[in-house]
Amino acid sequence: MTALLLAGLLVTLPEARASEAAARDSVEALCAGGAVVTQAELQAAGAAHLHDALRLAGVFHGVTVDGFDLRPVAAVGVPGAEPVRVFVDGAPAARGAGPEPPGLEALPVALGEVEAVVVCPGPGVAGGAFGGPWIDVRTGPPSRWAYGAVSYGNEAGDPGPALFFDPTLPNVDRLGPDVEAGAGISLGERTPVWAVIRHRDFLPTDPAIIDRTIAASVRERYPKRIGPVVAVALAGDGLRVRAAARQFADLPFVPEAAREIPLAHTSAQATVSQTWAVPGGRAWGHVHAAALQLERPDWSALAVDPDWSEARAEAALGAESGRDGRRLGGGLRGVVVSADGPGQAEGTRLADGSVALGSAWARVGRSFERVDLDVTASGAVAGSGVGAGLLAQSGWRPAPRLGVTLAASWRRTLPEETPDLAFWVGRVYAGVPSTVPEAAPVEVAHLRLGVTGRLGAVRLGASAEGQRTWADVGVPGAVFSGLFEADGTAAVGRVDASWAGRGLGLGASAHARGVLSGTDAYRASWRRLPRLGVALDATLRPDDRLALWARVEGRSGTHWDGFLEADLPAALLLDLGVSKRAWGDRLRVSLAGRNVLGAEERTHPLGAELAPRLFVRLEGRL
Amino acid sequence: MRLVPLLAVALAATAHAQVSNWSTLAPALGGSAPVAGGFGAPWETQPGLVVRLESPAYGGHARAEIRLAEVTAPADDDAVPDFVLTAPTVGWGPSADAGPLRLGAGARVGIAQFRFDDRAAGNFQNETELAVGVWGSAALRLGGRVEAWAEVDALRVTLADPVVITSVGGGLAVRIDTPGWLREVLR
Repeated sequence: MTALLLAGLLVTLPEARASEAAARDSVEALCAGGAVVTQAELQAAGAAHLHDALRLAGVFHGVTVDGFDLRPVAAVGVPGAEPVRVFVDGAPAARGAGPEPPGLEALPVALGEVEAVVVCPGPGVAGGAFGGPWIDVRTGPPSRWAYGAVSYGNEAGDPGPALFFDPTLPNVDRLGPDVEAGAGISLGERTPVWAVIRHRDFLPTDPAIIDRTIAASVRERYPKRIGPVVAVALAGDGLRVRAAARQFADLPFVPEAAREIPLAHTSAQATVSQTWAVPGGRAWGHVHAAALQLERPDWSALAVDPDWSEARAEAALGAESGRDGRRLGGGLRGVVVSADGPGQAEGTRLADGSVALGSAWARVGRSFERVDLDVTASGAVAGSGVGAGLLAQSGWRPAPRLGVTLAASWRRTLPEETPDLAFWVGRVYAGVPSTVPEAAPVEVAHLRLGVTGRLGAVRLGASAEGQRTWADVGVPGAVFSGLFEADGTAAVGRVDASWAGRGLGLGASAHARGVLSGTDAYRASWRRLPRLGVALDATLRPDDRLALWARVEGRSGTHWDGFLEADLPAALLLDLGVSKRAWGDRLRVSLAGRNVLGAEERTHPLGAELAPRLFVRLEGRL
Repeated sequence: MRLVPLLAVALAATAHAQVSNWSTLAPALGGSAPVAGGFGAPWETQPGLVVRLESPAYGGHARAEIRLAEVTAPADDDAVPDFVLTAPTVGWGPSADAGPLRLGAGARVGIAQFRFDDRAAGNFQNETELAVGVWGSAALRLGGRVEAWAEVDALRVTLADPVVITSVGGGLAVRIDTPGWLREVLR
């Protein structure tokens, strides 16, 4: 089976519970330059939030203003301008409504049900469509009968008793308790049904942002990002059903508005996906529907009233089959969105709140003794025009322990594929202020050469890629006004190595990336990513009940044109984790330290400086 | 680079870890007295109490403990309250037996909680901050299951201006066999 067929299976057959090793091997086939973070790795690292997976994967840069909800940013195209696609079990999952920032914490998933997180820079077919970078969160029942978890964090740096000498010193909690609970039953041996509830409680009160967040709330106490998510899921015999609801009193940083905005978020969604066996391969499909509403909460001190309602529906169908080294596949996807919100003129509404997008992809492939060749083509049609994509990928195995991949791609992405705040502002939406211009199509051409091999027990990898981007887009951050051109070329190089022995795993990676040529706006967008990065990690498992984990990461500084504090420093980050199982597999307690050396960890010039922080998590499963 | 010795110690420790993990429990009670560091003027850290539970684990000893100490201010300064420092932590460190003596060292992590005098503190009565620490200890079997212990401990409270309190302490511990059900839970 070829790399790309594996890719399709992995993305669209999430119910198949691959072992950790299989998942890791498969991700190389799933997407060039991608990574998979398994549940065991999350547990060893003491992960308390879903965004810890981003940190462990090291594929995307995570940008956060409040320290709670990281926005994944890929070094593709115009970094930060194209939201990363996020799926649950290979199918769509609604996070925020159109005007909301696309962070990860809004995903209706409890950490305890995460079996693996696949992080892929793309391009490729995922979630039923061809597109750019994506994250796929694969879930499973957190336990046979009942599950519960509580985690609590604390961040260093408060004044303590010194407050009595200087009452103006900031002294606030920043991390609240998070609670998860779940219950499950089994409808037969292979049909688990489970439900989870997750309640998050976070205080956006870092000294760097507290003036803004306090001013946004009329509450006497500090404002919070708080609320529950409830999800019910069923898995069995190729079928996946997932329904979720979320209600949040939220205060996210909206990049296009350059400030935090109080939001009352209410949403409900449901997804049904199915796979079938067909001669020589598989077919799959999904339907997804979501209704989301944003209102001005009564505790808001701002005049901003998003007054937003949105309904989405999506369906996709695909199939792949192969015989005698020849492969053929294809799929269709349709998306409709209906939204309503205030228009720019007093008393008016959105003139056009509807979006319709249709896309199709097709793939042909051929395998020879040592070479696989695959070509994927896609097309999309929406109101703004026609989008298209082409991916040609070859895999060559010159020796049993050596693999070479060469992938060339081009894609033209339509704004309708990710209808965010900038898109709706283009439709004269005025409920949330934005200084970012109307979204426009983005074109990216990409060439990647990758080599993987094994030297004894050591796995080695190296890749080099170049890309050319043509875009008329705004980069979030309230820096630019009006359309501008963000054309240019960039290059990324990466090397990595890993070794796994009995009870000990070691890994190392390093990357360098930068602009080769381009407009000022293009260069500015890439300077927001660390140019250089190196990471070392180690996991020690003295037995199957205890895991010790450490990761040290060095990253270069970033530069944010247009901000008062434009330069963010380089950082050396040491993260630690301890995880211990007890009472059989019924209890697990973990400790996680992040940035324990106390480096100046900042990812946004308007954002928090993340001090050393400790998380404690206790899980029970029956 | 600091990871290398940590991993080496942990690896060495696991070599004989399988048979003795959680085999005994040693509740301990004692006192400690600060010898260096502290919150600075005008506060003075007083001798405090140490309550600990220790058990062999992975070639060393794991411990959960709570330290309490009162930190006092001059009685004539109403604006500066006394407070009680409570530091619950968990830790682990390698240990080695030398006859009746067991020597050990280790690191711990937890929180430090400050509970301020109600009248002086007004609305600001509680504060919690991260705390990390290291220790070096010696325990002497006195006979039967009773041990006397002594140790040097350094606790770093990660305030905006970090505070390090170095103290010496000692006390008694009783080593008991872990009940089977509890050993199963801990395992």
